[in-house]
Amino acid sequence: MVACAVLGAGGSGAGGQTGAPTASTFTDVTAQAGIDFTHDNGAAGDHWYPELFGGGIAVLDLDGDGWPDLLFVNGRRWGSAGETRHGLFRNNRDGTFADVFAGSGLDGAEIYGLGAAVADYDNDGHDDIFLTTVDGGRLYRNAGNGTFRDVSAGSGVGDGGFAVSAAWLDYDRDGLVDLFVGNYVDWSRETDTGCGNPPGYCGPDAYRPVAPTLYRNVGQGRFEDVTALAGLDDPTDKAMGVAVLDYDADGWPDVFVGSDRVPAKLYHNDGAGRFVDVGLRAGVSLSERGRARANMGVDAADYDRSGRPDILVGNFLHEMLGLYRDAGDGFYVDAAPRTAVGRASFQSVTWAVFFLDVDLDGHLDIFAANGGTDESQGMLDSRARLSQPPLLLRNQGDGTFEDVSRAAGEAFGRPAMGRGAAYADFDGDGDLDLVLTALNGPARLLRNDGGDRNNWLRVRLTGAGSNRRGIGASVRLTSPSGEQRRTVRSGSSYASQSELTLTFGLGADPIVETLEVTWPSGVTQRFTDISPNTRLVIDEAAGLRRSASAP
Amino acid sequence: MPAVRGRRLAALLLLAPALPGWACGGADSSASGMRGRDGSTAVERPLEPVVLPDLAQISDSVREQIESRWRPVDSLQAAGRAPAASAAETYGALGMVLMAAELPGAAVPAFRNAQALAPAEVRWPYYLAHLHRDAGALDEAADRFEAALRLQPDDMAVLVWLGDVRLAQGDAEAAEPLFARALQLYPDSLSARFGLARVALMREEFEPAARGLEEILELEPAATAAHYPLGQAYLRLGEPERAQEHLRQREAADIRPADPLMAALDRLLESAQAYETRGIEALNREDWDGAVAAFRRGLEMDPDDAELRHRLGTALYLRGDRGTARTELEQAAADAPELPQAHYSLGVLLQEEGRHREAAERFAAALRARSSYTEARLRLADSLRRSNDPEGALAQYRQASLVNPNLVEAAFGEAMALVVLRRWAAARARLEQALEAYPDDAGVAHALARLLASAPDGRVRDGARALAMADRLASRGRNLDLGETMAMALAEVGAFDRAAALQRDLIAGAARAGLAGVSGRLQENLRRYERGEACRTPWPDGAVP
Repeated sequence: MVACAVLGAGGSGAGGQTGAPTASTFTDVTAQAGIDFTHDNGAAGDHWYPELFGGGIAVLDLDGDGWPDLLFVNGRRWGSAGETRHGLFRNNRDGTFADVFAGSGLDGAEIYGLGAAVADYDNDGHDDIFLTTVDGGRLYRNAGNGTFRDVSAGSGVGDGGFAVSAAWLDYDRDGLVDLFVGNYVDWSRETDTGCGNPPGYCGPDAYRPVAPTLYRNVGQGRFEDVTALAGLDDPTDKAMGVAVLDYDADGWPDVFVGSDRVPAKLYHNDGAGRFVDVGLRAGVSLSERGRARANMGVDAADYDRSGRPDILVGNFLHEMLGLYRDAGDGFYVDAAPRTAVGRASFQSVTWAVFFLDVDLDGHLDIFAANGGTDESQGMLDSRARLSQPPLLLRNQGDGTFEDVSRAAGEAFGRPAMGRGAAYADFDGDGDLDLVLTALNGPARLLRNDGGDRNNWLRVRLTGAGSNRRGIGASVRLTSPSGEQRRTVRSGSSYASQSELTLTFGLGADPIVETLEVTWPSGVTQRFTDISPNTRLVIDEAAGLRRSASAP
Repeated sequence: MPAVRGRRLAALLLLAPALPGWACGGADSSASGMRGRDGSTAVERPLEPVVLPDLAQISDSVREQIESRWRPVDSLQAAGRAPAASAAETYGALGMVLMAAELPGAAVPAFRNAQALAPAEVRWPYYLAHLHRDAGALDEAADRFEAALRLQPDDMAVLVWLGDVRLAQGDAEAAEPLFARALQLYPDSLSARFGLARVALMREEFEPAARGLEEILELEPAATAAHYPLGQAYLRLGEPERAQEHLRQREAADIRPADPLMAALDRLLESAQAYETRGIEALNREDWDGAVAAFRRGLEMDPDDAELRHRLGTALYLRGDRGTARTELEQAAADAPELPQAHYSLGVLLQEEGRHREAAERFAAALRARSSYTEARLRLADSLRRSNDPEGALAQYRQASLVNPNLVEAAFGEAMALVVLRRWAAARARLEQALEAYPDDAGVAHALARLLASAPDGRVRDGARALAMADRLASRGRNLDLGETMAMALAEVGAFDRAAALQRDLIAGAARAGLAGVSGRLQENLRRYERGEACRTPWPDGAVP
């Protein structure tokens, strides 16, 4: 245990004095920030199933400067020659970004990409990327100068199938992050005959479920497929979203997998390398009425400040979000039908979904990116093929939510065929901004204006005995208004990953009394008396290294 | 398919252009009419304009129905004066046909006008409530159901649907008296009981919830919607084994009240779709003649509807008219080769006639049209197994299990294919696995007992266990097959006298029942037992179940 006082380590800022709800609004700053990316699903009338799934976003630190950079994953024209045009943008630290795709090493590849997960798998201090694709995925190693090299072939990663979402986690707590790939269905162009007459897109029922893939990081840049060894080789998933959480607080990361029209899974990690699905028993596999829903994007975090993570799931039209509140003893109760969460999301087709504290009041709010699918797949349900606005649900601090989407600004409410989404404080003002993608549409960067009227604390972790980015580390903050817990987690959302830096909203709290970090290695550090509106970098070995200038 | 209807209605409602007054005003405001000198109802505010939607995608017969109900409404609107109360029926009739045709955006103002003109009529707020509910507008739905309830306080459907909306709003306190009242008035109501159980679950009162759900299943074992919440309740009560039993039986189903007003909508349209609905209703009440007549009428309106033709084939088959059924099914399959159920039904016909190779071709065609068609895959596997292709059958059973690991039929079929292949140990292992997952499945238990009693492979046999299993099965009911298994098990444990005595009883019973075909087999085993030998043929060739 390491303990130190850091009162006055950061600026006092202009934190709010009352802790009252603030009206955060979002402004579309895509163009002025220099972000120019349009997704291409490659549709040319053949109705290949992956064309419906869009592309995700990853927030990463390309150059190790602490500022969030952005990767947009793209599809491509089927069978055509030429590189896939992903979007890679480096943060200029002044509210703008530079397009650095050309020459990045991500260029030149001919892949149909879907999503991304980011971690420093080789603990060299640089963020690496796993791209989910229709054909097994690609692993890119960051060379340290902002360029990447496709190391899939030599690493043992990437022999899976059609996958959308993935997450890095250190499931065996050996200090090296491992990779969980949520494979979607058994699909190939050779076997996809389409559905209907004339042929259109099929639904998920037309394809066989598959098992996820778990790659164990054995060091030296090598991974081994331990899916069967881990007991995960049961081909019953159609994974759309992957979230990592420690639902039973035993210190071992568990995995929640949202699966399309089949029961969602909660894979319990037994700490000995085996996973067992406890989803049905925990009450998170199905809707309250016992139905398997679309289970698209997913997230896990402690929204009710109970000390235990809750689970959030995006669903199809008329299915509403799933908000599985941890009721203790390993049971969850879907709170959505009884709250504004259900009512507000009833008419949405939700893809990306996550918890974040938009107004920094200390209570995690909910964001959901929505969008329809396709005219033929949605033929029984024409709403399902439309552009839809996203949702913002404000946590009122008493276990209930309020739909504040309309108050979040015109830019926020613009309908789109939403797919991926992520959050990051890209402008360094302390509050969390949003990045969104759309199927066959432009990406958007929405700046949070007003979120920082409340106090906040940002915490970036650097592992030593644990993995470098601190993935899996749990941070417990105590301030006058109570206790909050966050976990550094890869994955979540849909095909996307948000920043790994943790943001705590403090409301009007003038001080953080204690901040306790529990690392995957088991090391615990404790800091006291921290001023709000501070950016901390905590090193597992060196403790509080500095008050960072980066956001 | 009420669920599909609901989804479509909701979707279209959301797409409808904004109409004046659509979002404002509750049920009460429209019920405040004043009676004029001529008996007409002068409403306090003008009626809403009703606009005929685009009917380009609607079938001719339905369009004609809509237009015939639209013309008097158009005249009323053109007259520009407050209509008489009798005009409520005119607006309401249009609303109903629009709602039935899944054009809810236009139906809403028609119903609202009908309700304004005839505030004492329950149908209009009731239909509006369903439209709002389907669209997820729960507050508005509750308002309208409340209005309907004020008019008909004892209406079962209104009580249950309002309770359902209150639950969806998270208001267990408001929902409970509604379900309780429904149950008081209709003590046999499953939907009211289901509502009360859901109230208890919402309050985390797991004991009464479990009790209520158990009662539902006792009254109606087919009420599969009760299994999942019951499983959840038992989990919370700390009874994981009971929970597992119910979670395993869960199905995506619902328990709904009888709903004459909504049923009236389904019967409203003069269209192929409406006749299809009527035919399905007739099938459900086992009125085969009525179903055939309805499907034939629908096909007169749309002769190219292969799905409808398939239904006609099904109804004919159920009526016992196999020849005509096959003709219609073959026509459906020819008209729409991508229609898997037509191939499937033909396969079933052929299978029943023992034409397994031809049947297998049909099931394979069904699977080409829809690879996830589990019933077709199981039937294909059965036909392959019975046409001397046990390896092919094995692959299909395993594929079915892969897609749905909970299919006991696939597990059983796989085990029987292994029996045909004389892979006794593998067959036993598969049956053991299936029995673990389905401890109550008598078929699996019996097959395992038979294998344990008489498998040629000594490592597979376990006579004592076979006997115990057969005893347990016998306590649930006896038949000839089970008697044979019992005799086999007795012989296997060396009780040859008892085995022979039992076998003689079975032979006598079979003779009394006129089962001459099995006599030879029974006699053969009897001679074995009399010689002090056990049986080593679990099932004769061609008699593997």
